[in-house]
Amino acid sequence: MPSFNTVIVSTLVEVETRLSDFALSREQIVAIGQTARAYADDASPSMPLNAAGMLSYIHGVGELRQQLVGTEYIPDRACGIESVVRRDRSVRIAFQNVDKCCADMPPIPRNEKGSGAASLSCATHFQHAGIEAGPLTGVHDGVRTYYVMVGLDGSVELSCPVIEKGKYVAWPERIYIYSPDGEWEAKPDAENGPIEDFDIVVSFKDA
Amino acid sequence: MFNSDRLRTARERRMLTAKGLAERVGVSAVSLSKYENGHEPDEATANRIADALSYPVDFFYRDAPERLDTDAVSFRSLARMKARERRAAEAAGALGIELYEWIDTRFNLPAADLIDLSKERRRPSVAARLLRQHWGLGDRPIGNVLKLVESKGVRVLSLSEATKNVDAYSFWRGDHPYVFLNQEKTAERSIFDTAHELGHLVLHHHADSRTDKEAETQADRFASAFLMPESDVMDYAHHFTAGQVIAAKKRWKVSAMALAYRLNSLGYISEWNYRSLIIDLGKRGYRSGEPDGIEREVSTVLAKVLSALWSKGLTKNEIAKDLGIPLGEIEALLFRLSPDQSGVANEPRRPGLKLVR
Repeated sequence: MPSFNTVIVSTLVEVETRLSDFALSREQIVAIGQTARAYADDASPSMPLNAAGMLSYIHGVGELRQQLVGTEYIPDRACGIESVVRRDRSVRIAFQNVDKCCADMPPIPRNEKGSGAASLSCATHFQHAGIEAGPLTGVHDGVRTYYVMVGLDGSVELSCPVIEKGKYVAWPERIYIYSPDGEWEAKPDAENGPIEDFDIVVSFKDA
Repeated sequence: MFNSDRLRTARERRMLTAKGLAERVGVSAVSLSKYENGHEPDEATANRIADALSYPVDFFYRDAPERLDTDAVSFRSLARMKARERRAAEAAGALGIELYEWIDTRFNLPAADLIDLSKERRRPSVAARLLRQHWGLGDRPIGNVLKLVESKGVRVLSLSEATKNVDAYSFWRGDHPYVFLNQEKTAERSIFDTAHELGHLVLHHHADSRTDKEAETQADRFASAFLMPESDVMDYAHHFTAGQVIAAKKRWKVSAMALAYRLNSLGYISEWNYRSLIIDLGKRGYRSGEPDGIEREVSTVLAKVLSALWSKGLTKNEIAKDLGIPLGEIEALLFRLSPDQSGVANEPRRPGLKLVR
């Protein structure tokens, strides 16, 4: 049975091109991550222990819909997964808190995934990963489910995992959106670095 | 003929009251008041006035100085300034205009290239974007803000050491925009002050807008948006810890507090996170200063002017003599703006002689 490598989309140009396939912009996904992290940071010590993750999830999903619904994406709750879907592009996007994104080691979800999430890993994904699908009870609409994954350090990626027994077991595709380490995305200094070549001509009037 | 306006300018520069100066000169306060209102002192008294103020007597017999229209000046920190500090700063402004006009008669200088953004003063971030567009800066950080504004014709001088409570101020004189910076502040603070004053020059050059109570806030918001464009900051928006902010601030050459404020005002960090960040930065010494700060920006125009003058054998001494003002006033106007005062030699120094036994 074939087993494929993960498609990793990591350079800025590649990321933007890939996102345009889904009619998305990098800024939209970055904004979702920012909102989620900002609310996670609002959790104070007097709140429940899981407040940061809860706040991040609640406002992350809210921002996901705020950013995308109205641009052909519609809210979706297939298999109990809060998401948005765009069927003409065959893409569903949900939200997930993870440990860290955009690193060689794939992200680990901060909560165990349920059967609903596993069901949304469509059958071809299991084939992709070389995994026996087993009895899937959810929808099989052929729409690939991506997750805006937001790490504890603020890193963000838009990735498509295969979920089995509550865990991510394989990755058809990972799209790196943002990393505070900045190592995965070497920015061309000439285009984005500080500008300081301002010309000042001072000369004697009698010269 | 003795010029009474020059007497007032020199007295204000020295932060003396009329009574205080009268005592130093050995005349009555009434007499001094008369001298400041057009009465001619005798030669001996004029000499004593000059001595008391440490100004060349020649200074008082020149044409009337360029007195500033006080309503036309945008002061950065008017609230905590004393009246005599404000007058001293304005008097320094008058001398600064004389210095720059002296330079202007001898040199071709960059012409002013600013745009009228007074209509956008209620939307300072839009004004900042429009000015960036006008100057073709895109969203990149500005590597040298002082050089940028000088290249656009803004004339930058230093506030004297006598006016430490004034952060900066700016005004238009004819077609020429002027900015006076307090070089006692950190380099990062001076850069922000430069952008703040640039904001006043484009937003508040009409007298009616200058009286706007919001003017200082608008200039601050302009400076913040001008130095740290939103789309550039966005890529660094996940800087939640003090350490990350300290590392990132160097990109825009701003203070850690200014970056934290910008991240919060753009909604990239929450209010709660912002407050803890400010406390943490304060503990690390970033409230009162900038540990591991950047190098101070210096004036490119003044460096070129002084260098060109030196090539003709002219120094700051000759400028002072020509203008009839003390060398100390020239030094104060150029304080930490000319390369020789920031540690870089500009004028060749007199060879040092050693006694060899």
